[in-house]
Amino acid sequence: MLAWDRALETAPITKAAFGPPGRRDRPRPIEQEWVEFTKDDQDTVVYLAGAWNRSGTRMAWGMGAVYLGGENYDGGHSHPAIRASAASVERLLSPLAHEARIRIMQAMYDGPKSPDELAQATGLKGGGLFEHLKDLLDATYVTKKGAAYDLTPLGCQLLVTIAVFADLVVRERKEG
Amino acid sequence: MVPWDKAPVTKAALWTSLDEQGPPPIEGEWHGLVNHDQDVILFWGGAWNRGGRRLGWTWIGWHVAEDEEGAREPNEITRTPAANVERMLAPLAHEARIRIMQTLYLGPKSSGELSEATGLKGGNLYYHLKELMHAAYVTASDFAYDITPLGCQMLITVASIAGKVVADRGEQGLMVTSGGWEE
Repeated sequence: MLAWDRALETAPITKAAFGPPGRRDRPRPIEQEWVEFTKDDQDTVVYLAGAWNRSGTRMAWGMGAVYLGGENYDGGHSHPAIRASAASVERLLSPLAHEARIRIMQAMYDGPKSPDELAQATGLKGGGLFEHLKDLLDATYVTKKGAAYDLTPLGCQLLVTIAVFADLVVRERKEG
Repeated sequence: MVPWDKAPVTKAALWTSLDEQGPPPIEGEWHGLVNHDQDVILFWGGAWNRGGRRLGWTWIGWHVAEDEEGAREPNEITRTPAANVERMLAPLAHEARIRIMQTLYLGPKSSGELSEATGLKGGNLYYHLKELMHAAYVTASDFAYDITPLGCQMLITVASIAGKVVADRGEQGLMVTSGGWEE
């Protein structure tokens, strides 16, 4: 059994571990049981879970990862953060690391949009708009439905994930 | 908004293994929480140590529209300034910088050690380090570089996601895929 399988069996999952939704504040201390759970050097618990609907359609479930140092602990080398190829991270993020493309994806969040509607919502015009759309299509974050463009389930998941945290990250950066 | 104390939090909401083909069904109580249009529940939480130091706690996102009126209101997804997303992701969207951060994840490193581990040299290495320090994902002290708690959080998140949704197609290169993520 893998370390994170074992970990999940014994991991405490409590409301306190998530904290109340005062998300404009700094992260809150998690209950004592979590402190105990991560007392070993380089222990990690990270999870991302949830579910969402969009325009009445259930889009997807989230993902989770639990990794804890244990008897098979190898100094962190098998951690997902280390195992992922750096090129795959670039492939994942490059299409998203542009303000204009995020505006395009945000405009589609409440439903498919025609090129005219996208141009109006984002302020992008002609070739610039289609260039960004092509990159988002290539990345499978956006799909074409007839004359309209729409988010894919994956694109919607990534938009939800990064948009929620971007404000927090930028704020944390200023504090540091 | 669904009151915080009424929200279910269960182990079934988590995947049991990174190698699993897809997420398991979440318990019935979760279905009840997301039956409104555009409901969103997003958790990202936890804690970690590294090198004997507690690096930080993570964050939580929570948005559940209670009724149709609430569902139409702008939420965090559409309200977040797109420029902030670019500022968060642009420093990370480079293979070389991810290699640097992965190396630092295992502990502080000198520039010589970083060069050896990543294959980056001289001005090129320093250019990427400077960008990562400007973004507060990496810090420098006493002739060594180290990953910051924020950088550690970002690395774990983006690498975990990339490991799930980016497929290696051999000579055809890498491709983003939604395999394993869709319901």
